Amino acid sequence: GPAAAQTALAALSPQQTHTAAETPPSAVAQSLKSALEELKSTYGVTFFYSDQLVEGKFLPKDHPAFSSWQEELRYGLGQLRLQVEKLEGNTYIISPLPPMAPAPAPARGSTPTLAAADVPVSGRVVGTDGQGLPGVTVLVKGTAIGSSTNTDGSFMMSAPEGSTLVFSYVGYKTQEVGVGGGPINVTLAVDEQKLNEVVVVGYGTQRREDVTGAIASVTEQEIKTQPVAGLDQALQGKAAGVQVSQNSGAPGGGVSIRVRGVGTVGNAEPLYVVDGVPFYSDSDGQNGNLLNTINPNDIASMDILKDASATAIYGSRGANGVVIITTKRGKAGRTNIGLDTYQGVQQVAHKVDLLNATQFAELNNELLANGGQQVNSLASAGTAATTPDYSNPAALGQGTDWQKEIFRTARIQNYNVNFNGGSEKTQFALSGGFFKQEGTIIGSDFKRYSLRMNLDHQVNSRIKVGSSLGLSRTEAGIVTTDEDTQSGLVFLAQTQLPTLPVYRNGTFAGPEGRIQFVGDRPNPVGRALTFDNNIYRNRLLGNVYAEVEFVKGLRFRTNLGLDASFRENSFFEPAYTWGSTVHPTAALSQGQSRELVWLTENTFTYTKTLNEKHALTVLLGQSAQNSQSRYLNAGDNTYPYNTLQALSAGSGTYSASSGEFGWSLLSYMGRVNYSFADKYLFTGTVRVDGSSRFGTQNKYGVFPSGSVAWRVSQEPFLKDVSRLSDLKLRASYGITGNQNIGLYEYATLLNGAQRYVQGSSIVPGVVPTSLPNPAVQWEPNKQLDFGLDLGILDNRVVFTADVYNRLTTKMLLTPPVTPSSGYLGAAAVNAGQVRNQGLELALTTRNLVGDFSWNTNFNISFTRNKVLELINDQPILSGSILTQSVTRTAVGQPIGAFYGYVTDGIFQTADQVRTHATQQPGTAPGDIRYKDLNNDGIINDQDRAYIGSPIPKFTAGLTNTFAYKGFDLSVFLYAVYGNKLFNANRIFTEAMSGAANQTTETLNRWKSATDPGDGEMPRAVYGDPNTNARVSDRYVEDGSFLRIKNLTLGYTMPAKWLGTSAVHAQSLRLYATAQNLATFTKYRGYDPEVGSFGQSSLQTGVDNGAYPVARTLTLGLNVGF
Amino acid sequence: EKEFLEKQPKNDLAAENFYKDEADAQRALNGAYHGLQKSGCFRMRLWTLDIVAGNSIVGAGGAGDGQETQQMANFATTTANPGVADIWSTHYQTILAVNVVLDRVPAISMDAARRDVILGEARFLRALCYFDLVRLFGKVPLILTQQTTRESLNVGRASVADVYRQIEQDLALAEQVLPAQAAIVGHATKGAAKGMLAKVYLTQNKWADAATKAQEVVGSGTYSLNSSFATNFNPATENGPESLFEVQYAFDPNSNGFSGDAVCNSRSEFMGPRSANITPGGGFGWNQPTAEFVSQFETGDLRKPVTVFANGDQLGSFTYSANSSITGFNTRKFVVPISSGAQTAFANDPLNTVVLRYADVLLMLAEARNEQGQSADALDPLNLVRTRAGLPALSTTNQATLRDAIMKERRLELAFENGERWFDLIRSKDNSGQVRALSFLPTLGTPNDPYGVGRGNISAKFLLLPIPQNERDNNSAIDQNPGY
Repeated sequence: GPAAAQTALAALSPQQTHTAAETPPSAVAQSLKSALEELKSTYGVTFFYSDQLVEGKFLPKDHPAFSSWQEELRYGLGQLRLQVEKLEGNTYIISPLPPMAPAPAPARGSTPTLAAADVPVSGRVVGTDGQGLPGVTVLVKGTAIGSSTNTDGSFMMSAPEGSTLVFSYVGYKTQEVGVGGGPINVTLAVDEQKLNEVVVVGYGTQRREDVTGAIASVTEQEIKTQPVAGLDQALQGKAAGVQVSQNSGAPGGGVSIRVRGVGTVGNAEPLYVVDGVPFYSDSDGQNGNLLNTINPNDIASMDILKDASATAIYGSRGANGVVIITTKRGKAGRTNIGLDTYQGVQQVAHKVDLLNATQFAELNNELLANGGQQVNSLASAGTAATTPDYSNPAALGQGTDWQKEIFRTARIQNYNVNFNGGSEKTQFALSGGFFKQEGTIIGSDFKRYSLRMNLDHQVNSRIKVGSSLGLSRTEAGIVTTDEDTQSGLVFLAQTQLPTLPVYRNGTFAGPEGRIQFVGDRPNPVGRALTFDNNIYRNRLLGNVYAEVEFVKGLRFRTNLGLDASFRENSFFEPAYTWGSTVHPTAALSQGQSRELVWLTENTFTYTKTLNEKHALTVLLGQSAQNSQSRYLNAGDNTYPYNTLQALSAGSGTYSASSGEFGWSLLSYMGRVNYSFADKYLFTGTVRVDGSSRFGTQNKYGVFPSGSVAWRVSQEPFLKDVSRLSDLKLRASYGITGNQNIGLYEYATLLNGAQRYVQGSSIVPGVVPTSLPNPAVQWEPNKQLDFGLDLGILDNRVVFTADVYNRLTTKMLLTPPVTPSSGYLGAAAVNAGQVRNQGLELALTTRNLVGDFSWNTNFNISFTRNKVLELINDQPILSGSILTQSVTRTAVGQPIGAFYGYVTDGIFQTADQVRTHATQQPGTAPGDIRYKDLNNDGIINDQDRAYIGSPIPKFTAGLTNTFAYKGFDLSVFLYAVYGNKLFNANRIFTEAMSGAANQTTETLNRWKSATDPGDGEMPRAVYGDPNTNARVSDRYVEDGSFLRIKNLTLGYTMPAKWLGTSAVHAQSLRLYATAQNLATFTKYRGYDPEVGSFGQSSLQTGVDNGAYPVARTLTLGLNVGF
Repeated sequence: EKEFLEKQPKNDLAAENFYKDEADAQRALNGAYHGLQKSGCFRMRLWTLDIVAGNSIVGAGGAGDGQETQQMANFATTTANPGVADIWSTHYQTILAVNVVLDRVPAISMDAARRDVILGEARFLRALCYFDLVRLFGKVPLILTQQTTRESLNVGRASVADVYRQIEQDLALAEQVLPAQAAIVGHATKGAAKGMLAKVYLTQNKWADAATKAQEVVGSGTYSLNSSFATNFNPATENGPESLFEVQYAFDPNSNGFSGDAVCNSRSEFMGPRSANITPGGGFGWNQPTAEFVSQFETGDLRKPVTVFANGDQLGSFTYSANSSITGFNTRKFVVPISSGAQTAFANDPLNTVVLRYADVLLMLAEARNEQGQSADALDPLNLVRTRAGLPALSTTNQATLRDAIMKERRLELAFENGERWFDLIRSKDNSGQVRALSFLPTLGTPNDPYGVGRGNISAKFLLLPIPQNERDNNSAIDQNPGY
């Protein structure tokens, strides 16, 4: 061959390298095809390739020593301008390397430009984490001369002086470096585009270009920069069509996720599948969340299945979307060690402006006088020693700032260590993590300890086994916030009087004096610091699998999964006397529950390509899942000790309860993927689920779906349009289900707890309490989706659009019963329809590449939600505050729409009160005028109306990432637009009807016709005779916001600095992150991110004194060894 | 495979395995008795009617506390009032439990005499529930068997006469089969059935029938007045000789009065002076007597210190201060202080609620006789009650004077008990022929009762409560009371 093709691999035996030879040169031993066959039979792996790529090509006989066949193959293929990519498990695809600029042709007639002599070049290639990358192809630009890196990422070769080396590696961005003097150290950055190319689809994976359904993927990179307790919070704003809102800012607090709108009035949370084990997130009130048992650092990818084509494989659980979580697995090669940590502080970004002691006393005097009551003065206070005298408000000064007392600057910290590596036959990933977050409210915190061990082992050429095991413990220290509107700490901090000190007489102060003056609210600081409320969870979640390839293309996989979770809770309230707030004896309650879920799954996958055109993959499988739960609770509310917390130390009059319940699911599923010439793609899926939740009438459900896609870019007429990398049109339709109802709704059950007293004993009593429905069945969800995927300029611009129409039919509703039937409730019935329509757009662009790079990720989702049908079109009222409903779900309106009276300004004169429709007996000037919507001359329940929707018109996320040299900067903006919030705090903090502190907005109250205030704030009057505090549009606020959700600035040390340092690190990255840095909103509460109370679709956007979401500043460090 | 998908509930009984033997029959009956304990019945709502009747105000935490009761007491009751809905649904829950007994127990193979008693008790309970319902709501759905399908739930209202006919029939049957002494303490007896029947007749102005039934109770010799009025409200002396029927409560170690399943009472906590800490939860200070009410006691009435707390009153080491209350008074009748030694905990007291006692029967007898013109004969039973209260006997035989005197005696004797005052105000007419509720309540308000701002709002429509909105929303066959 020409001299230019001559190279010496210095450290190894000098040898020839080869161009993509058409005929076997003498030095070549084996055809590529036979080598692949050999690998297949030796390692049980499968390769996908088109025959023309492989036919007539030969691998070099001599090559450097590699520690794995993958590296060897990668090296060999590199010589042939081919690359190998791992799809999943042991399936690989072989494809051509991207084209490179042709080598400059030697000048005709002149001496070949051999002026540039070959020089030895060596160096090392690392990833951004500093770990060496084995098997990276290193080629002299414009030639096929090259080498590849060994197990620690080092390479040595000869290259013409002054030439350029091209470093390429699957999943990483290609980089070019000029050959100069000295070693060449290269850091390759992950190419997110490429990483996304394999999509987890449920019982398998697919290449992104083969996907016919709507699937959004979130990568490890996007998760790991966010200092949050759970993966669910990290999903926010990252995937089109997935709305994430935090129900509570408590550390480890609950989150609501809605995929493509709100599909049902029941549980609308998606199904989660972690390494093949499905479960539902179970929000522990506002205070806990099962998802928090999973360490976000362990996650390799999250794929959100959105349309029916994608979710139908999960059948009766697919209707609300499926989030598939894949944890990190080991790779053969060098053992990499990673250390990750961040440390930070959190603060409540915004506080509510409240009255100070002077302002409060003035208000109290005014409202009592207006209500015909005695005003607080030394003479009337009675217990003057402890009751402040309000007769000279100015003397009271500022008083106590209760918000300052309960909120704090709180620490957050995270530590992770991971080991990752393995040999040809066995790969492993081990990790350990510790996460600790103090709450921004004193007395609350969250800790997680987690361990993970993922193993894969190749037994022989046909059999592979492995496991994924995650162990975790979470400990949540809880303060009560919005579970009880009157006693939650956020409420108490707003309503406790500024005239009350925090401490008095060596203990916490409490109100002392007449209730009209001092109220009877407990001391929030006392509650936060003395109540001891903890929830502990231990969880083992994992599976063991075995895979066998019986004959070529036919694989069998069996999966045994286990999800064992153990929950303990303990609540202790000591005995205390804080003024009039007295708890005479301590109360202690403790409980334990455990859920044991096992899963067995068996699937056959058959893959066949016929005539190079017809590619077929068939999946057939069976699954059985069983859950059994038990609980045991005990408590004693006359507990004698403040210092000891063990029930056995109590007086013996403790209560106890226990129970057991379970469910099971037996399923069969099948899927066919067919593609013709890589252009026309079809997927058909069906799942049959049998569920213990349903009676004999409807035990089994069938959930089919089908989808087609056309890769227009593969058509001859577009194939030559070089700027178009990909254009695909998709369409899908299918039916999935939701089975989230009670466990025994079909059966006629009796309640045995209706006891009665017989002499000195308590005897059991039994009554039927629920009207059964033996015909109850799952909720079918019919979804139609049209999508488009577009990639242009070598996928520098990737655009995805989807429109969908999602119709929930036979919606499971828990119908009200006529109270005269005597039943307390009724089993769910299938009635009602809800429609969600939406448009999702996602755009990823690589705006600048090179030294200075700039990438943009943008997604936006528009949703319309409408209830089409309910039982007898009977609206569903929900969310009771002061015995009034806040939301009403009615036909023609969105789920959980706000419902209440409509205000019409303030009555200025008695005449106006008299001529208006009758409101209340005590209505007077200064009170709110409500609209008489039905014009019947009386303001009553019939005058309530739809006053806003909690569902946003759109949500959007925008991430810009910049990198220059070692610096990286990422700015993530999150926006929610067009939703309303019901600020229930203000029902109490602007009521001006009793002794409770109020917001400074009440300074603008009506005082007289000549001093009418701002025209919106009514008068202050004891007892609120007009019920100015009724549920009305007064409390409905614009919930739109734009938030700088995450801003991260990082710096990666150059490898040359590290090599000489004492730590011997391979890589080191330092970064600073600001989470929730700034929020732009008109909302007057703490934070406009108000999720769903207890994840209920019917109580979304109601701010009931929710624990505010914090602003977090962290410093982080990633070190690789 | 089939078995794999069958899950049996372990916490609840499945109906197909129940109603098999005598023990099941007894448990089903216990479930019906339990209904009386609930907040929509004797634990709370019935005694809050006393507030509506003007004896007291909600008090409690002031301002919006007890809003639904305030709304009723101010005669601004709306169809969505949750207190009204609680009364309605709780009574029908008990009726369902009773109907299940009447439907299922006859088929159970068991001792026939036992079975007849169980069925008789069930009828007594059903009569009790419909009697409350017909008095409070007027026409109501008359449901006499368990409804098992959604289609069967729409039931219209029966006429008041039909409801009373059913009540009388149930009580008459109960009276036949029930024993004079209950085999199980607290269960319905012949005397209880007779006494209730007397009240049912009295309410319908069937004076002769009322007098007959009341006289049968008196003549049975089974009952007598406790020598001390306070004995009726002492957990240590429950189910005594004065008691015809009481709802049995006990300290409930598993629960408290805020739970629907609890077997304890919670009047003590609710009515205990607010934050006075003589009850385990500190006291909620509900049901504060008005000055007007307290002024009705004659000097020397032994019932006064048992019935109300006034400034300076002592309870053990506790001294009551008028500052504890908006009106200056609190209800004392049902307070079981921690110091009593009775087992109590937060909203969890063991004191039974007396539904019918002999003093009431005597006053009914007096009234029934007086209304029939037998005013002289009315004096005996009336004076028995007065004498026990330490008051001089009355001697007037003027029917009109006596009518007012009996009514005043009922007001003081039965104050705060189960809405007796409200039922009296709406069933009886004053000497000018006006329904007492309409003539009496507007006289309240300033200066006697500065807190009863809405008393004057009463009009004829408020003599009945509205049919709850949630019933109207779900039952297409039901209409509303006039004016709501």
